[in-house]
Amino acid sequence: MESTLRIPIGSPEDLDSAVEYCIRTHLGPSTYISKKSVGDTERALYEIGNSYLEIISDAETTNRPTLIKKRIDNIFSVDIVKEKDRYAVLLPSIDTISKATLMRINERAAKSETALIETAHDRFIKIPMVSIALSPIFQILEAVDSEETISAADIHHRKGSAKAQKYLDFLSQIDFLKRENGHFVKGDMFKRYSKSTGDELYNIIAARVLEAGFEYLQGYFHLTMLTPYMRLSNSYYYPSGEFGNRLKMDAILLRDYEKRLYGRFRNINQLRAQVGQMRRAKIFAKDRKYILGDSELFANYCKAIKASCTA
Amino acid sequence: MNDREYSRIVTGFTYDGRYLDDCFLVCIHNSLRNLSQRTGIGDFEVSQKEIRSAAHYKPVGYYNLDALIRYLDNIMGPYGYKSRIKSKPDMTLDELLRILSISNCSFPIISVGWNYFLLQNARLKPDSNDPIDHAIIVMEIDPTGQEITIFDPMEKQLCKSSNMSDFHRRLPLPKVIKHWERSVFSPRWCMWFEKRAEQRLLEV
Repeated sequence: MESTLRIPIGSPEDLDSAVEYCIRTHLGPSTYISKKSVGDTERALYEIGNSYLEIISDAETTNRPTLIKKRIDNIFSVDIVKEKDRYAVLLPSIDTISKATLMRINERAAKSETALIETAHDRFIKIPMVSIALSPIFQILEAVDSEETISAADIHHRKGSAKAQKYLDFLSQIDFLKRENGHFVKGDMFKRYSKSTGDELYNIIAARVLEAGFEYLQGYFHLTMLTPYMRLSNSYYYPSGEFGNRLKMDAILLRDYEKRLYGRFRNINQLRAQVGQMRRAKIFAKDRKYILGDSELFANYCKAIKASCTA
Repeated sequence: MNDREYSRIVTGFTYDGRYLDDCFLVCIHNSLRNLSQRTGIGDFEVSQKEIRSAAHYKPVGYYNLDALIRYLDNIMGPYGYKSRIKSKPDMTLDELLRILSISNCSFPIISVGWNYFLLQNARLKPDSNDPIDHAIIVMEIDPTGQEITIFDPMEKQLCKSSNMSDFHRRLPLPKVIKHWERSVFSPRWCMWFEKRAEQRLLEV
């Protein structure tokens, strides 16, 4: 529920302090003024941010907890209107600002997923289950490579022609195929990599497909076998990126991070098996004791995150 | 206060949850629980769920402390108790000692700045003094004025995260005061529940 508080008129500095006190006592002690839009003498608008804490755990760290303080600026605004002898402070409802904050937090995790796909797509396709998930796409690309032109009817997908049409449309959208006279031919992206041969060609193509359409593949085609690998890698790289260094995790710690990020508690043996596959795909380093990120991938991931934050 | 007595008092105290964002509410709950046990007034034992609901708590760290105080004052009023909040310059070390010495006062809750966690040997990122506060309960100040015994609602989470075995419940008083002074909420912010003076006089 929105509410209005009234505060006495004083100096502009008094107003800042009064607004700060209002938001901290009525909305939460960790809220702060992130920006003040200078209004006229009758109105002012304050952008409000919120800080929160996260504990970063590292399997090797002993006796020294690490706390990360995160800020989210400009989550909501507070309107100040001058009345006869007071200022009216219009506060939004806690429910609304909480939802907006959680959305911003989720956006950060989603940005991290995107950065991982950008930097590790060529490694993801080396995971056997991911490769299987992408096999309908390989089939289509192989067909168009040998036949030069195909139609939906040429693709015999086990889930029917509607599904085949979806794959063809998807590949057209990301420029791997091009529609010509009711059929599909090689698109610009396919032609760009066609000098490569055999497995190399298909690895490049699959990596590009993954990069261009992970969200789409996951959501639209329900290729859910991709999801656990994406989530596990993000559950490792996201906190490591926040920490600023590759964390050393064990399976239980990685599971805890995944629970924190995605709310799902995974079977530990399943997780260990998937970590093994990801080690072979060089998403994780071949460290015997800990689950540790690949150093090159981590450096590239950090660059991608930095770029996405400044974009 | 020896370790056994400390453990007896904090038995049944709650700790910060997943978001580490409700330390003020957790401290209020625990302080009231202890006051309930000391006074024998069962109504003071307000559940954590009820406290969250009265404060309109939502993640991450959103709650209306003002609404919660009004709610609690309604519960405590008939028994002559009231919530009290003071900060600098009205709040002083002497006042803190007074609160701790009176049996009709709850344990005081104080707000400390982010760098307080350095006293718990934590690594902080970033290390700047951005606006964020933490609430702890003051349980005792030793007669020499050198040491303060606290309850920190983040103790379990901090220990769990780092295999920390020696969480500091007793800290040097001057250092805690330094972080109390740097509370962003309001320097030297303190909250407690106390029986009103007129009520006490009537009893005498």
